[in-house]
Amino acid sequence: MQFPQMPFIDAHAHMVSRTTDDYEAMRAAGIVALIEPAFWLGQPRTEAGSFKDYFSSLVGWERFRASQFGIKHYCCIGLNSKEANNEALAEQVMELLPLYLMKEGVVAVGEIGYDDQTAAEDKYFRLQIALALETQLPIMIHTPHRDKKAGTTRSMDVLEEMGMSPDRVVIDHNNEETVREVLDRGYWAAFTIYPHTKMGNERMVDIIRQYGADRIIVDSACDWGVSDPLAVPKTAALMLERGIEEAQVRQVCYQNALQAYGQSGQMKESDWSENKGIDQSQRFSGTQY
Amino acid sequence: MTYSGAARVFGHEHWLQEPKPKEEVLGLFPGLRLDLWTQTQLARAYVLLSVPPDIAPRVLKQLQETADNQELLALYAAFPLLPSGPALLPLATEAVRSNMRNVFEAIALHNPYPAQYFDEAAWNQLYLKAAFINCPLTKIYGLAERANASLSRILSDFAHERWAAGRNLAPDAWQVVFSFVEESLLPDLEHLFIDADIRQQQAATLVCYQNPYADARLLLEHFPMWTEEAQEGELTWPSLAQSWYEDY
Repeated sequence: MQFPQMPFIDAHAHMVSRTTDDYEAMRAAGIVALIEPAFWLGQPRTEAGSFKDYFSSLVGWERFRASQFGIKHYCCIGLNSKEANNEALAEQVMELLPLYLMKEGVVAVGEIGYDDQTAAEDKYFRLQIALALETQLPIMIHTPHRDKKAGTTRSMDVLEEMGMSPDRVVIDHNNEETVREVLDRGYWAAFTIYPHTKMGNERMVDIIRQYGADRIIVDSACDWGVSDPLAVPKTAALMLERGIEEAQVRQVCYQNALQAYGQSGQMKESDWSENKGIDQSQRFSGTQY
Repeated sequence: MTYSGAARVFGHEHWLQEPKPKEEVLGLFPGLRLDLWTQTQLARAYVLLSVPPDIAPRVLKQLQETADNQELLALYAAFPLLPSGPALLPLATEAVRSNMRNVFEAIALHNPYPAQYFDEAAWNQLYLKAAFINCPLTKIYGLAERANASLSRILSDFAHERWAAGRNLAPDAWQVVFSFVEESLLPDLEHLFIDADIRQQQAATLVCYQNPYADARLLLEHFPMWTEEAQEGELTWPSLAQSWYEDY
């Protein structure tokens, strides 16, 4: 497939679950940077140590793996809503978070928010909003798949109640039903392009037609499930084919993510533009050390 | 958090600016290339030095378990400066196991810690891993002092595996065998001498040239094409490394 000649950022990709073939294909398609938010691993963890190793891999091994393919890897650190329901474990994970939030390349607290919208989820959501305020980091919000519309509204209510500024929050996994309120309230609205469910890339084209490109972000959220690590460049190709202006495509597939997460002070265009493609020094020959 | 936060205050530029500190300062820790350090690295070393030695192994272990890529690199590169010495061995051998190239290089290259504290088995693992992933081996500190018979044997076996796959070792890999040339190694040297790549021939020349063993001398007489360069000091292990590694 031919992809448009422009740089892309995948603002939501769970690369721990992907292969080097994916990295190679992503780079070839023009993805220069990606953001990997902390989430669960497909089944609930039972030990805090598993979280520690997971967070460490997000700032260590996965970052290195991406660099081998010329992709700049950033991450969000947080306790996801699914696992917030194991309160004994959640308490220990909360103690781990401060160790990671100040690290280089950590661009937000996330993905956090609601899943089943339980009391425990609400408790740890609020505690993590407080952490974001304290560390001056943006937030990436995971919106629930069930009772989505109400859950999305509730997420924003709580964020505002705690004094988080909407322009420092990306609400992810939007659809036609949630997008208007999210944009009206001043948040960044991200859309996850799934191959079969939720948001297909055809629907994405219609959303850009209706709402324009301001504060809208397209991502893949690729993980171990059926998902497509090339969703962003593929959607860009379709948008151009359907007559969306190139400047708008660039906004939703690159610029907006950079602007939203760049507020962390941890993500700059020069991080990858000054890096000539694949980092040869990392991959093949000696660095200075 | 202070250790992590260093990167928000200091950059990844090299810390050495004019006027440069005196050579004596840079030479305080032989083998350590402080001049290649970044500002953040230096700040992190300062933080590490402020940890009381009695709790350092525990604190550093926690740091190792929760560190990002650059933090690990700064941690291992600072080991020669830290007073805990041998207590850091478990962390240092773990560093050698790292799959992140720059992290491995932080312990392996321009770092006097392994030569001082590693036992023979750990030292040999470090050397072989560096050879395996094509690190410039001359940047490992203490090669001559830590060379050993077992390493020569393992290196020879490794070369045979590579040759079976139609590949060569980096020529400077052979620099650790010179004092251990014995009968079993002579066919390997012959193999190098007849290799089409002159850098392999040059490696064999240097090994034989530096070796007092009579049969090695005999080999050198058979294959004299680079002996003169070796005699005149134009051909050395660093010069050979220079010709082999991109951006050496």
